[in-house]
Amino acid sequence: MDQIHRYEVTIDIDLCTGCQACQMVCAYHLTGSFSLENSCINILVNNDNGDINTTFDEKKCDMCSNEDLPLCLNFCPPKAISITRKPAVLQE
Amino acid sequence: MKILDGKVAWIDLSSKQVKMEDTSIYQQYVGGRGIGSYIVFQEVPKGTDPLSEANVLTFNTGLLTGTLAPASARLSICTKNVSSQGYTFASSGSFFGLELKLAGIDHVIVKGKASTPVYIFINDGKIEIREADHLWGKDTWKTECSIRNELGDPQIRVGSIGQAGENLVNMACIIFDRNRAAGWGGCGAVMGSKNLKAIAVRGTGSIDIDSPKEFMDFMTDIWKRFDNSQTVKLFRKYANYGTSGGGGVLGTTPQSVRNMNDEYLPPEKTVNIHPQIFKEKYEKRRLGCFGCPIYCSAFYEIHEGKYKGLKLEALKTNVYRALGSNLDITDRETILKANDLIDRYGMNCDSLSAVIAWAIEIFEKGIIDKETTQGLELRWGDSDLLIELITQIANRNGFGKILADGVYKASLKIGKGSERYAMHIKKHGMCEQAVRMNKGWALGLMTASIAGGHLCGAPNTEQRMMSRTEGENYFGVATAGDGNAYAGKGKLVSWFEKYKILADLTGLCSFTTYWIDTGLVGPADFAHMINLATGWTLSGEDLLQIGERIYNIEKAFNTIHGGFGRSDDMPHQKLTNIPVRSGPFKGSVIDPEKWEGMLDEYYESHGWDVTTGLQTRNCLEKLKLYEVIERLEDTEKLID
Repeated sequence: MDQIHRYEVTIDIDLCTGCQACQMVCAYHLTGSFSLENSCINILVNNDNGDINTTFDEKKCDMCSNEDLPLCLNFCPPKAISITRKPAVLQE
Repeated sequence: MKILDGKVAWIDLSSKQVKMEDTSIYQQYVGGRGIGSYIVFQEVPKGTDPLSEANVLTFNTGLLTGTLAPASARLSICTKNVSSQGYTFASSGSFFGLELKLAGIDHVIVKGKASTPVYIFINDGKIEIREADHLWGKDTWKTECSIRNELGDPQIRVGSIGQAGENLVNMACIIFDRNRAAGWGGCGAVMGSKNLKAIAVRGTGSIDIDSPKEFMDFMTDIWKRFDNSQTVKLFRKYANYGTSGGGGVLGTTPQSVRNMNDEYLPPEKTVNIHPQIFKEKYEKRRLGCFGCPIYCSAFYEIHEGKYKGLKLEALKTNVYRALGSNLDITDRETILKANDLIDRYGMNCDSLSAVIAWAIEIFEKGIIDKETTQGLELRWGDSDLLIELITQIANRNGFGKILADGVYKASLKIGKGSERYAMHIKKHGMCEQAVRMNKGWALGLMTASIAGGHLCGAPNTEQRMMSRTEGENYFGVATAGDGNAYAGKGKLVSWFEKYKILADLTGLCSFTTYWIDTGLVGPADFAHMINLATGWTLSGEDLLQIGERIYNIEKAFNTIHGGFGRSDDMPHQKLTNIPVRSGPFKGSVIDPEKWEGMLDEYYESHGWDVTTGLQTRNCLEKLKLYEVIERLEDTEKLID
């Protein structure tokens, strides 16, 4: 059985500005195209109350293998993103 | 979708026909405002009433919108200017431009007029014209909510008009994402005149570029520049308002005061509207446009008092001075409430302020009385009055019926010498700051192709007090940072006029450019980004030449439609007769003789005729603008 590591991308909601750069750059890494679809990250700004809702799909995230640094970190100007490596789990 | 495979959608609201063409046929104009300006020039016949079916309303994404070029989703709305009768573009931040690009559409050209209210829905390239009777009468926020509910998708982006646009108010604008205005030139009234309530879009596509790896390596470098910029740090810390609203962080930044009768308020007057107080009392979070490394906006909430519970994205410097200092209002919550109202009704803050401030001034001088104002007492600093007048103007009732036509027409209607106090540039209402003390800035306002506003050639170099070395190295103008200097400013403004177009061609925000920091995106950087995205081989100089071409198209439109010449590029009499009364800029005023010299230099820099301010055949032949030459020959306003 293989060991795989999962990564947790955490977005500090207080710092996030809702710009979706992380969402697009993640989709670019996974697909080679610029889009907001097919990303590990989803950012939604609620214009009624200014809340920001974020989701992260850890199954899709490969920590930007073949990049020097995870791209979402590089393209987050308010530095709202942090990444932690979760304990290894066994894959069936 | 490959980046060059997008479409131009021509939508005729009279016939309800939709025609698509490839954006690539307009390649020489690159994108955004470039293509929009060319189409307006081509499509709108001389003498067209901006509020008639024959005008076109164009929505133009930038060439690099949909990529990770920084803050590259700005949208340019190009059309005929309701006030000046010449050209206008209006620029809006928001996410609408991105969504449109991801739907496969680069430009939307709206012609004709619907017989009843409609809205346009673009759904991944499929275009519908839908009935909008149920939306007519709603403000822009309710319109957005209604459309999203009706179409069952909360991610639909909407640009709409409120009651002001429906009522063809001179100052009406188009609002995107609730609080992002395409403010200039009465474009909201143009939209209303077509019975077009809104344009909604949903795009789930993708953009492919020519050299993605190299592009992203370059973007990594470009984005880092923002982290290293002192000016960007200021924006990030204090937001747009903090950099120069309310006197700025130090309380010394110029402001418009009482219908631009003055340009400085002492710190003791602005203590209650200091940026830090807004941040502490109301700021819930910071916000940015799509892909923006500067995040100059914020979400505010009022927690107590008369406007408890009010929530909105705010506060731009322009909005503060228009609804604050120019009316002598220093009540923070009034300014935010007024901001909320003008976003909902859809009105441009500058030209709205110009007409309200004018009305207060002429009431104070006894030129009008309560009979004219239908019972209203007009006073400086009256918060309730501001709220009342905004509502009257948007709905064209009460005294608002006169004011709704804008400051120029209102002053002609009232007469009695009131025209002297109407602050406008080529008939478009004006509310600006730092005009008397920064001569280049002033020149950029007066010569702007859109009749005022600071998004054409007005340089920020003077406010930043740029060093002589930096001015010389970047612009060939050692005096770029000296507000008092007239020499060199003609050259500086003409350079910024063509350079800033590069931002509007690509969709990037002005705040990513040399306008705020020469460490950010310059002409060669624009060229490199474009080349990596498209496979083209442009240089920075090539792009500046394209910018010059586009500016000349806009200038020609103004000559043909507005009849403007040298006399229209002169400053208002207040700016030459009334010096700044106090503060670090005490005594600043515009010297008319020196202005003439600066204007000469400006026209020479463009290759235009110095005596008339008009374009020359020689200049247009060098730019290969043969269609422009032909059209100008018909007007006999082409100088040989």
